Amino acid sequence: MSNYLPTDLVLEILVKLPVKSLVRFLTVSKSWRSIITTPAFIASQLSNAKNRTLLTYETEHNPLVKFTEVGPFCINSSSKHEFPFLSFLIKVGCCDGLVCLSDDVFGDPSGSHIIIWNPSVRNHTVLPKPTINPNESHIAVLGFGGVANHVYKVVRLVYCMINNGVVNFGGRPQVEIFSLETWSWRKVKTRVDFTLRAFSGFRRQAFLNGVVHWLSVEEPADDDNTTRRNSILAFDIRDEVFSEVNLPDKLASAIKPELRIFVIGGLFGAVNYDGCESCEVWAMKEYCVKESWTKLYNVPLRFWVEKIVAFSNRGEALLSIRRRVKSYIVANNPDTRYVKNYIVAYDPDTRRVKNYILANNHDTRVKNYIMAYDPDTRRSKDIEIDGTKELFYIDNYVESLLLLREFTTYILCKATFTFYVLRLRAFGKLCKNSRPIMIARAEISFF
Amino acid sequence: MAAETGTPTTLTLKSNDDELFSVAESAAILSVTIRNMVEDGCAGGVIPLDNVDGKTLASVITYMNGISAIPADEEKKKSYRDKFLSDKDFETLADMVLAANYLNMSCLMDAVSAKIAQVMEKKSVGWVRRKFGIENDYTPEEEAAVKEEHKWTFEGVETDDDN
Repeated sequence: MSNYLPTDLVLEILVKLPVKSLVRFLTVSKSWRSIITTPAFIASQLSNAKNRTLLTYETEHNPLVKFTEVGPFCINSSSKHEFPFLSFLIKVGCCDGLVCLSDDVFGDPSGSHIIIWNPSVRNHTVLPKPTINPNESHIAVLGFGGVANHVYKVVRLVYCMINNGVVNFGGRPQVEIFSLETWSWRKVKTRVDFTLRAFSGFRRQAFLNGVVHWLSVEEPADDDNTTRRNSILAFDIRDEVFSEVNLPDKLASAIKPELRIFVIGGLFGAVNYDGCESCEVWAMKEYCVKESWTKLYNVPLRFWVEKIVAFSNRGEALLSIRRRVKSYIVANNPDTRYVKNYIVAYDPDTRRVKNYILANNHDTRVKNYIMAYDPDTRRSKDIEIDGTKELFYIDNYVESLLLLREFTTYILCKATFTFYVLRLRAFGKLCKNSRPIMIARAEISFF
Repeated sequence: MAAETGTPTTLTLKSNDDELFSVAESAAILSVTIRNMVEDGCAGGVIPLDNVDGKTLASVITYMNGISAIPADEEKKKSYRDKFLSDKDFETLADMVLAANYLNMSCLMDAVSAKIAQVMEKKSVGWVRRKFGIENDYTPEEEAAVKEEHKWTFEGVETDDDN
């Protein structure tokens, strides 16, 4: 070998490494560590990162996390690791490798944990408690997203209960924003000019073009029996402006709809469960142009297809499959039926479900399965999981180094560490592995 | 020695250990460095490439000829690159990335650096230090602490193959 590589060429190579290798190579030398942890390198790695899919689900005692490669929905089992939280946490959203999780739904001021988690570096941080906690009953709706230059924000809408003959949460929400850059909550005067009541929780946000979208309804002003109009409330992360994105008339006027919103192959889309025969997949071909809403295809809801869980990077629908099967174990009760859930991919061109295998049922418990397709072997694999279908979480994902736990910062923060350990104890019931983890402002100073 | 129109022009490249190579101009100008020399009128004689040795230059020329023979089909070009790099060891790849950088050949640069990343992916920290000539400037305590902090990243590391 003629000579060793200069730093600029080393950088060319390093940005192409997976995050796990980069974190290991922090140990190579102090200079490598400082290269890998610079904001410029972190940004450069992110822009080179390949599109993946993040999947979390729950096994008997271990919620798991997997990353899949780009392409047909497939699972690389080497990426599997334990989900570090209790699986009931709501997955708010995902951006640049950061996942926002929360139990802040029911407006319980003692609860309200909001967590930003980077599964690629296996680190997370807990946000300070939100500041809007009215005494009356209220519901909190969360959104999470980021824009260029690594500005990430959590937006929280608090709807108070109104009781004017009819009880609802239809008033204008109070709004606060948490910026990871300033590490603080800030109440926002921004008026929401519409009486749109946003939903979150299992009806997840859709994040597209720097804008958080929530499925919402316009609550009637009084009890005049008018149909609730379905719509989309949108929040621009950079400008902090709310707007409304209109649904096509059919979806806006659907009575008691089971609507969900998604990003489908880069477009803003919606799925409408229209009766029990099929569900319709819609996309807005031109963003914010109501006339451009187009129905893409129907997915037949035969006895086994339950719902669309997500769309892969390529726009494939991933379906949760549910089968009632007889148990062969509980012999004295042959009529006991158990539910199995699967996730499969639906190909709208051939109108066929791909890669569907019935897994073994050798247990008496309720079981769920996700079917995965391996493009190399062209075979399906099954991965046993249990839990409810609502605990399947699939999102488009890129690996990133954001939130990387840094040794030096760890040492520097020792003075403030006790405080954070105290806070962690309160958090202990949520976090499975209660090994103290540094949650310090300094840690994310590179944002 | 102006080229006659209509006939393929051949360039002569000279490595830093004085080996001479003939290569079609159409293939050689994949290198922006060589293309600039041709455009500046330096193509008449021998083009000296002071930063590339004969062994590496031979390999780069094989690549230039191979890739320029493939019509505009990104899939085929990609599979040619993969095959071309598949049997190269780290030292050869490191020489090639230096050559690609000097010759300003972005497609080779991207392919070789991606290949090196692929080779490194599961390697040990010791392997990386040896191959990149890096001195470990951590104290044993500091190194142990950094390692402990990110212990999970040491799972699945390959056994070193260079001893």
